[in-house]
Amino acid sequence: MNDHAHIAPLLQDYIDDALTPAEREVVDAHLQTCQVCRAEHAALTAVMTAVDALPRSIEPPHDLWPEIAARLDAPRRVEAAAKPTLPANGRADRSPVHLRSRRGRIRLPHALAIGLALVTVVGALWLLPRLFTPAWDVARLEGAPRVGDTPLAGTGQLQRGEWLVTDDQSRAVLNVGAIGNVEVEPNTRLQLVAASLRNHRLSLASGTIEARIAAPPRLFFVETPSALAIDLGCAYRLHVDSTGGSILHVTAGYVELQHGDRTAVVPAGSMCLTRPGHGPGTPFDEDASDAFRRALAWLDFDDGGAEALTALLAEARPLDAPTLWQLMYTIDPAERGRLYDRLVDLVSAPAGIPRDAVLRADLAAIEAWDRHLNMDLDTGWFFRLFNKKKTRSAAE
Amino acid sequence: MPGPAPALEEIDSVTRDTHDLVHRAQAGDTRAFETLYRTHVGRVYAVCLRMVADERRAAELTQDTFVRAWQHLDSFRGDSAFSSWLYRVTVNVVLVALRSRRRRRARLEPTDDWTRIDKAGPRPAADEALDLEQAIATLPTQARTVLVLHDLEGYRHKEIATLMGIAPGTSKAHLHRARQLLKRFLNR
Repeated sequence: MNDHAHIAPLLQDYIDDALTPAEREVVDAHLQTCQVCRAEHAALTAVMTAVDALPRSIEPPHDLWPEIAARLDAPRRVEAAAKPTLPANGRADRSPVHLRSRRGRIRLPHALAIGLALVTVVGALWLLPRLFTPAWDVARLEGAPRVGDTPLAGTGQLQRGEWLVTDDQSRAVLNVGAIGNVEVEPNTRLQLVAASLRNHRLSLASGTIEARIAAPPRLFFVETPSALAIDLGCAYRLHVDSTGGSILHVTAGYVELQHGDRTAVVPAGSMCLTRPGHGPGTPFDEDASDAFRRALAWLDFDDGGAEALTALLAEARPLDAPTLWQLMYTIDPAERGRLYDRLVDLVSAPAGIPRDAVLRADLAAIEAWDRHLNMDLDTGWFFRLFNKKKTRSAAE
Repeated sequence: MPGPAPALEEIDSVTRDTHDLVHRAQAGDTRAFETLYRTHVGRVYAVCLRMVADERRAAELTQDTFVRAWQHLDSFRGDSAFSSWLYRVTVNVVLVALRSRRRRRARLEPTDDWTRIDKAGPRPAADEALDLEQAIATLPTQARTVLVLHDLEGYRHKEIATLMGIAPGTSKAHLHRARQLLKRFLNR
């Protein structure tokens, strides 16, 4: 009878052909004699056959190309020129500004409509050049920052492709179109890569910037040698060192760090390191100790393994519990036991969830811990840290 | 019964045509890109629809995918098939969307209710594929995502884990849950 309990978890891997030959033999032998497991195997195989038979292609309810074509005016990531014009498909007259003014003429008294139209036109005249400009305004704050080879005396413009460079005595502030600004600290090299409505993009080769953006998510991007920082509506400080590594400190909202398929969303009050070739590491609390941060970097980027984990656990405090929990299923499974033990030293375990359920990655246990720490399994990194403040207060 | 395998010359010709279209699109030719769109839109939309279980949202994400592919075409260097690259872009676009709190609140209602499929009433005999699509749409978000990536798109658990920011064991657990729910559905 115990065979059922032993074999059942293997059936899925058996069907997916993911067992070792020895494990496969064990399952084969069991299926010969066990009708219950044979029935389960047949049922799961039927599910997979049905799913596999589904069409791989489904036509969308309508042709999406016209809407896609209208958006292709956005420049390519680096090479394409920013187009300071409305879409070239003849739809410029359908902008929201125009529709609003038309509605105004119909519904409001004549004089008021004219006033509103004037305000709209003046507003549009002010806003549109800023939205579509291929260059951004830049102003000197201290010292003698340079735009290209030219020293910046007071104010000027940074054209697409140009570099803004500060030495150890100079600082500048750059307007990000009409959606925010970036303060450029001393010893920084910053290039304007793209300046269009949907793609405000800088490249930070080295140095430090402080960005403050008030816009919908994913309009402002900063490329660094080790990751792409994507604004999700936020304020943050980003420093790139001489090796191309970076450190991000989010002070409001959220920033997503992306490198290849690796993504970390860092909420306010948290920090995250990136390394060339690795991308982002594990986000951590801004109040985490230096020793904890060093151990985490060792574990994330330098294959510190068991030794790094020992150092990390020794330095962990209750506020570090979310970071520890995120590591539970990314570290060597053999190390989960002591990670778990340290975690429950720092925060109480959810009621009714035994240690061994966590260690074997039982889904119900994972979900219970996620709920317990106010994290959300469904959305991974982002929501694991989303309610970190609550977690902290619960832990303390 | 599968049809006859295409001749090698035919495959070569399709590959050459795709290569030419991609090359022209990389140079800014939107007509070439439209041809690529028409060739692949069905597969892209299917991935989006199955992952988000919402027709309108799937159409939006399909648009986002092609716009993103256009913007990043220069990063496609031909090391893999264009279709593979495009489907990977699709998966990334959808996963990023699923991570978005705002969209999640507005559109997604993941459920852990194991009885939801059971409550759906008896399964009609006709159009079993459509029924199965509906059953997949009712799966919890994570379970559905893993099922689509693993069983329909051929991703491995390790790749899914990396893409979704979860452990490979968690990916397996979600797949197990999805298949168990669908098993119940098929056995109704």
